[in-house]
Amino acid sequence: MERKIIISELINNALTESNGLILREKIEIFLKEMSEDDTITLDFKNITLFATPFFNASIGYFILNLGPEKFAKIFKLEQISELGQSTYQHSYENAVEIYNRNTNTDIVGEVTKTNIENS
Amino acid sequence: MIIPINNNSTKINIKKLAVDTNILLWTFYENTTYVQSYQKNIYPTFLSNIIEKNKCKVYTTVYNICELFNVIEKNEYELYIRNNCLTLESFNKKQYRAIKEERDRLQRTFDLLYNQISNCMEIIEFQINQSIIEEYIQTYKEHRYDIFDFVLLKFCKECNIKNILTDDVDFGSYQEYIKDLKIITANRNLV
Repeated sequence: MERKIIISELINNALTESNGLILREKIEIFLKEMSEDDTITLDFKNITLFATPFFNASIGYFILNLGPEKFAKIFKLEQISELGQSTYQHSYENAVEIYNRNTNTDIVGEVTKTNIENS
Repeated sequence: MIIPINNNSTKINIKKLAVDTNILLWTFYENTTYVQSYQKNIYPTFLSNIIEKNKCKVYTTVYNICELFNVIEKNEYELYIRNNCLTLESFNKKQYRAIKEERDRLQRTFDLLYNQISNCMEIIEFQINQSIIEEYIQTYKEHRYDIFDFVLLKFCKECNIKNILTDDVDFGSYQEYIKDLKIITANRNLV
């Protein structure tokens, strides 16, 4: 069965991490109720603002927890703008790299915080 | 004037806003996901609210984009050093720039960031001239602005933009330059 989430019914934009966490919570509810062959379609109609931290907090979280293969079997995106698709792809590739290399994200956070605060 | 904001600051009604480099980083740079901080929540939420609810016009300058790329390259270089058991002494930034895979990856990052930022705000080609450089040198001891901060202030004055969103504590360092401006910030050290 295909389950669909209309993103604009949950949030106004795909710009903030906090909106990513709202989407994550909705997906988690769906995943708990799903059978093995069910899929989740994310419909981005009317969403125009995008930033990578939004996808990291939502999609990226599931790539790291389910693994890229299982993620690809479950999730599908539709009605997403070109910029949204590029942003999603960027977040997807970063998450896969972190998953495959087992990157220590604490170090990433620590170095990044210092550099931004000193900028 | 310093205007403090927090996660619930939705009632600030402004029509034009200039955005500093650190706000661009906290909003758009992917690696902020792994940082524990107030900045990565408050600033993107504030920015999205004023764009969507207040229909506020948001601006940054080409110099802020230059600074953004510079900070990200430095950050990615230092992460490369840490992830590959190297040291800053044994592997310098020039050597890092010669790695094709890293160059390709950073190009994709810059391209995406530029498109995301252009989609949210206007990137202004403000012109730095000799008079601005001379003023910066003459007033250098009076404040703690770097040249990018100083140019953002000059841009705001010239374009009659009265509001700046920043997390940079240096913006409070010289009252003469900010007396007609509202410095909007979540940084309590600035407040």
